[in-house]
Amino acid sequence: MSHSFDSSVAANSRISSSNSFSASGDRLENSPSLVEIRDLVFRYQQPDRKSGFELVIDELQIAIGEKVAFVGPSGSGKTTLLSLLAGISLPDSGMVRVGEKQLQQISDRGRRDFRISEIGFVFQQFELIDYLSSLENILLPYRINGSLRLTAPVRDQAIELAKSMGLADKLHRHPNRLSQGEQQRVAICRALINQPRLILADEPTGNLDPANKQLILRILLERLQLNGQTLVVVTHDTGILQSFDRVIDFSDFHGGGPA
Amino acid sequence: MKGPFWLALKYVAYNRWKFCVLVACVFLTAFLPITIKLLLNQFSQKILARGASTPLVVGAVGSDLDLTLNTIYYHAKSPGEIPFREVRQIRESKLATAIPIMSRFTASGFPIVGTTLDYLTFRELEFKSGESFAMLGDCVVGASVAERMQVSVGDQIFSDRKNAFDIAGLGPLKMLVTGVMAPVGTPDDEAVFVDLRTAWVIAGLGHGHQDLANETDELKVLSREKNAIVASAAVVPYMEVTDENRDSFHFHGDTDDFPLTAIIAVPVDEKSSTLLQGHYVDGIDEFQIVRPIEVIENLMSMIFRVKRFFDANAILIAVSTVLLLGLVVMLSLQLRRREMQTMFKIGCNRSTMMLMQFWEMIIVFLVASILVAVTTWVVGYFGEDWIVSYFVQSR
Repeated sequence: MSHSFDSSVAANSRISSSNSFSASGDRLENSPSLVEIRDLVFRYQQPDRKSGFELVIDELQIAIGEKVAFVGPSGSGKTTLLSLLAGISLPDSGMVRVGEKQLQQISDRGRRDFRISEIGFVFQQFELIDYLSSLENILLPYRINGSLRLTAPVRDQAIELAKSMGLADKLHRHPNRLSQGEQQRVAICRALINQPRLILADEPTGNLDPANKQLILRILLERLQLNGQTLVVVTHDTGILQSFDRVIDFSDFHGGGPA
Repeated sequence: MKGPFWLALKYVAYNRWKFCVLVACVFLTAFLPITIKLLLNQFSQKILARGASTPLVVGAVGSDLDLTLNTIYYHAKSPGEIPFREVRQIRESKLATAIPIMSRFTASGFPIVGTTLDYLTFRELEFKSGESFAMLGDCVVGASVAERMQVSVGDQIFSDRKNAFDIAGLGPLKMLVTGVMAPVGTPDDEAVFVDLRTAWVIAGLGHGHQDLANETDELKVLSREKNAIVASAAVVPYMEVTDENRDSFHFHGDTDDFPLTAIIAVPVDEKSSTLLQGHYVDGIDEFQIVRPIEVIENLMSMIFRVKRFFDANAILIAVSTVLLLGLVVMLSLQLRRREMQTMFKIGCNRSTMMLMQFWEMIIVFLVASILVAVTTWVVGYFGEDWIVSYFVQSR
């Protein structure tokens, strides 16, 4: 695995940190890329307008089926990059392509449809909807966007998925009656139900005890392996890094340049 | 549309207590003014119609409202008395048909109206079964009375004793039901009609008892002086008028002096009406003549003036409720910011999120509106009696 990084510090005095890298990493050999980033610049200003942040990526590619982990200190741009990959945020310049779509070239609505069909999100705090049961949470993407149609086979598929995650007897329970491990499994089911090509996970094991941490990670990786889906994980947990094809460490660039 | 509505339903079902509180706020804010308006309109229409159908009422000087309400609704506070002589005088003046009303007693809570057959004709009351009161002790019951007391022609009912301590007065009089009126939707449905003389018997002005002319029991006859026989309390008056004792019923005193609570005067024409009113307005201090429609209009005008105050109050409460609901929604949006962010990240349209909030409020207002509609209907259906008792009977 080799990374090559550059750094640049913004001239603007309000920008307090800047990360810049050009990474090809240990991309899966001979696999076509699912994600491609070129000449990306993203600037973020804190609400107090006194400090800010600039993320610069010359080149980054993630192959289909690749499992990539972003590590590094808080504020180094890991979660920002997830937002850029999901089309939640747009770069100030440069190109972000996921699959066939260049995200900065499609409309807001198009990016929402892209997220619902191409992206699966897993969050640190699970972010389940408390007034929906486990099964209803899993099927949530089908309820909130007209581009997906909830049919009986989809429902059966959700039940099967939940069962395969050990949630057979928890389908009709609300999140407040589930353990944290169970809640994260429900969240993973929700991320997988529409069979997205790219799974973005922000600290998926951050709130779990060690036993659940390993279990959740194993379930997630097995499931992705099965369908050849791509995974990008933001984590602070160095104990799980061996499970990934590639690790991109943001800490080397924090504060203006590589260590 | 389907997804946001489904999510809104789920949210509402899960947060059912919060939902109930919101519904209750909207319901109470809307229910009171709407129901009061409905009831007052119903009451207003009926009482105005009743007032309009009663041209003139003559009675003792006093509250014109009491006189009017007692004459058209029977239940209200009994006005002063006017002697029967006035009926004769109005009749002799040929200015109007005079219908005497003696409405002071009750039978199982229903007013007993002592009158003449003219009254039934005047009100165009028809019989559902049986026939009119012809004899002393006969009565005709209104449709509601028959239904609630479960009586029909041939049954007997008792007048209520006015005062348990009134040992000098006559006890309850047993009356024979000779007819049941067809329902007309007016206070006449709630009344028991008797001949005027029967009402006077109930009032203790007339009675029947055993023949004392040949009575030898000294305990029953206190003294005999020429044509007068003074009976003791041992002589028990008859409580029921039968074929056998009917002839023994008699009145003491001049019936011209016997009391009425009112006289309904139906003038021959406008001129007669004016003359009759002039007669009582200018000439006689102890009696008054009123046009019920004017009295009722004054009453309703006062009620609606008070209602306007409550309307203004209701508007302020409604505005407060809407502001509070707005605050609740805003706070709810803040509390649900993470939920909204999650949905947005997953791929939810902002319009879907707005629509979801919109449906939640619609569900609250819809449920509250249905509750208001149902309760208003129920109150409108059953509340008329209440409002009559509130505005009329409680006087």
